[in-house]
Amino acid sequence: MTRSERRLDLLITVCAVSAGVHAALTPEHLREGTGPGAGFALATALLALAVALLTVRPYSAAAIAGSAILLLGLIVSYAAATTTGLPVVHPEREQIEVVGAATKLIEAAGVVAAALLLRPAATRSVTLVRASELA
Amino acid sequence: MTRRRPIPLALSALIAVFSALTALALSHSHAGHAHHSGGATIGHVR
Repeated sequence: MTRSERRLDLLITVCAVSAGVHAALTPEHLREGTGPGAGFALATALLALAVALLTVRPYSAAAIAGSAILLLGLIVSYAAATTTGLPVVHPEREQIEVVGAATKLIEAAGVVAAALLLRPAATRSVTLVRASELA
Repeated sequence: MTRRRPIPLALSALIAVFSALTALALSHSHAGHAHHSGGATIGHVR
């Protein structure tokens, strides 16, 4: 297995883990309010879409970049929710707890994997592999 | 050289289910602890 293949598997796994966690915590956040609940439901749907896209179209730069942006957005949202609160979606400050913090660490690993996959050198190696497949 | 397909969708779904169960177990154990300690823990559970 090449590094790119391992990184892609890691990115898909991270999106799947995050989707599962967000799905599990959606009902609880719906009880807090429509904003937080809708935010978690939307995150779950987008993460599930990312998993599907990365599986159906592996090594698609758009799918990898989209997944990275989504994971980064979730990390930034969590950071904002735990420090200042998120306007509309989560106005009250969220307390840091183990599930949220661990999920953000896992998501950060996914962002790193996506960034490494999108590096020009990685793209070049994918192109070379594709070219060798065609030959 | 042939590229290996990424992990199958079914395995990703399984990973998501296990993650959901783990998150529920952890958040509920935290909630239980908060309940038994008379609300002395840090804040609410996500």
